[in-house]
Amino acid sequence: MDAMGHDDPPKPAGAPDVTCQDVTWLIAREIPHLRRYAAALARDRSEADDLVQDCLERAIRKRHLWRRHGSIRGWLFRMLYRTFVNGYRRRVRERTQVQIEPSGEGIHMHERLCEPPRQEHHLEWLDMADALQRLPDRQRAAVLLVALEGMSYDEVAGILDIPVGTVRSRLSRAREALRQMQTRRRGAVSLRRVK
Amino acid sequence: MRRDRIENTPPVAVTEIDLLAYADGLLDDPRRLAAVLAFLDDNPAEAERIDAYIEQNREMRRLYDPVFHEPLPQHLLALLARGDDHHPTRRWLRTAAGVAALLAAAAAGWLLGQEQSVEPVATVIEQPAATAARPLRVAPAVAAPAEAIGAGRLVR
Repeated sequence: MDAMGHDDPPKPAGAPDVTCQDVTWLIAREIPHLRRYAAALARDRSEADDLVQDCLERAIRKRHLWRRHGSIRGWLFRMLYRTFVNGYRRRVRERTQVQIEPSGEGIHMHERLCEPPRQEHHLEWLDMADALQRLPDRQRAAVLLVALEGMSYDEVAGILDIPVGTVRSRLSRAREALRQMQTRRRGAVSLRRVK
Repeated sequence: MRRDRIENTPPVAVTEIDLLAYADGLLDDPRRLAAVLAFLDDNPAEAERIDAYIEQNREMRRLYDPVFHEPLPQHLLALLARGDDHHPTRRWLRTAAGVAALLAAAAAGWLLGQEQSVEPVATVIEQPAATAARPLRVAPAVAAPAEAIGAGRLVR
C-alpha cells in the first residue's frame, strides 16, 4: 500500500475542478475577441451583449466537454455563431408572426430586417457599419472572422461548419458587395459635396 | 494573364482564393505570393479591387477594435465566477456534500443517543462491588431507552 502511491503521476483529488478553472481562465481571455466579433455581427450593442452572454453561459456550462479539439477560441466562436443563427431564426419567426406578409422569402426577409441607413456623421465609419449590416448574415459572419480575428480559411470553415470552398465564395461575394456599396456611397457623398 | 513577363516565376495559376488570401495576409507560400504579385502588376483593375479589400479589413478593425479594448463588463466576469456553481461536477459535489451532511447529522444524533444510554451503563460498570457476572446481565438494558436503565439498576 505504501509503495503504490509514489509511482503514479501527481493527480490531486480535485483534478477535474482544477481543469475547469483553467478552462474558465482560457475562456475569460477570449471575451474581448468575442465582444468585438459580436459587436460587428449583431444589429446593435444590446443584441451583441446578449450574444456574448449567452455564449459564455453555454461555454461555462459545457466547459468540461471541451477536450482541446482545436483552439478554445474556435470552440467559443462556434458557439457564438450558433447562438447568433438561432437568435436570428427566432427573430424572423417573431417578426413573421407580427407582420402578416406572405412574401417571406429568405432574402426579402433579411432585407426587411436591415436597419434603415444611418446619418452621415462619422462618415467613413458608419459607411462600413452600414455596409456590413446590409450583407447577408452568413457573408458578414465569414468576412468578420477573417478581418477582425485574422483567422485562416479553414478555421473559418470549422466555426461556420461549412466547406472551405463555401468560405471562399462567401468571402468573395461579401468583399465585392462591400466594395460596390462603398464606391456607390462615396460617389453619392462627392456629388453632394459638389452641389 | 501575361505571366510570361516574369521568367523566374514558376507557372502558378492565380485563383480567386489566392487573391483573397493575399488581401487577408494569409498567403505564406512564397511561390504563390510571387505569382499573385506578378498577376496584380499585370492587372491594374484587379490590383485596385484587392487594394479595396485590404482597406476593408483596415476599416473593419478601426471600427470594431475599440470594443476589443473596452474594459470587461462586470456581469460577464461575475458570470464566469458564478460558473463554478453551474458546473455538473460541482452540482454533484454539492449533492454529495448534502448527503454527507445528512449522514453526519444522523451519525451525530445516533452518537448523542448512544452517549445518553452509554453513560448510565458506564456507571453501572464502574460499580466496584459488582461481581464479574453482573455486567453481562445488565448489558441488554444498554440498547433499551433510559427508563429501562433504571430497571437495569434495579437488577443490581
